[in-house]
Amino acid sequence: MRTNQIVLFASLLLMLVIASCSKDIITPREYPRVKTLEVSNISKTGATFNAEIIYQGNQKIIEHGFVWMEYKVLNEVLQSPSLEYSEKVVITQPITTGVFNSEISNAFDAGTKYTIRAYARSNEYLVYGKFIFFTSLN
Amino acid sequence: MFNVSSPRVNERISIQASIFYLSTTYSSYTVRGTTLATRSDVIIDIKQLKIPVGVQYEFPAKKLVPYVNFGLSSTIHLSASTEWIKEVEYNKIVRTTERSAFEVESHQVGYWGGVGVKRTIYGSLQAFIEVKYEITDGIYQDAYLNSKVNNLAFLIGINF
Repeated sequence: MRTNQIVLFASLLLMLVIASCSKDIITPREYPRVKTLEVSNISKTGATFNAEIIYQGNQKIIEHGFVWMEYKVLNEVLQSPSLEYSEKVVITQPITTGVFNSEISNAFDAGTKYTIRAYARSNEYLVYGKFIFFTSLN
Repeated sequence: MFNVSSPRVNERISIQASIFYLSTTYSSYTVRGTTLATRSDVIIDIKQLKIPVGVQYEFPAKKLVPYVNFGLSSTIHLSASTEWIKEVEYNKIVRTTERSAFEVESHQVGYWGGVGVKRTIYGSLQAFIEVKYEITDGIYQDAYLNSKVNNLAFLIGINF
């Protein structure tokens, strides 16, 4: 009876261990992978932008940050922000992987919808993360 | 895995019913184009409860008892999510979009078959090794695309 209980307990433990072992597999690239995270601390004119470098790729990241613009759809195409044509925050502190953020103040019009995306630049590549939206408080 | 066996049909034929929990992650990676390269990662994460029901036949033997089994299975998806990470690269500039790839069905129905051997190790304790193959109707179906899931499982365990 005692042996049965030990075997049952060991089986349940093994099931739990196996069940908890899961990991997203994303094929590594030469360039960094950037994930834009939800915007926090939204006020009338400011907010905190958040993002994560999931991996840095083969080269050192020399610059990272955020780009944003007012939400615009032109000829049914969403206008996405870029370093050339949009507002931006440029961070040049070294980073490999992990979360980074930037507090933005006095940059938005109240009650306005914006498109934002994080970016990372290596010597060879410029990578934009996915774009997300937020609306400043009215 | 919890397995209930009822050997009432015949001394060699028994009805089997099991229930087990699985947390599975499937991923795929595709690249299209060169100058304008599109790289896609699709990740499917499913937590599922699998309930196979079937019949097992044991061959006559003394120490190592070979057996075959087969039956139907029902798989309930406790939670399911899909993620499609698409990167478009042109001129060393990469633009990423992320969205859900598709809506996963709430359950799967399938059939399975297996072969194995078992041996009594102590009292009513029996060790077994089994190979099981299962085909289900998949996790996604619509007019243009459908899927099939084939599972191959190697089981080592103790019945008590």
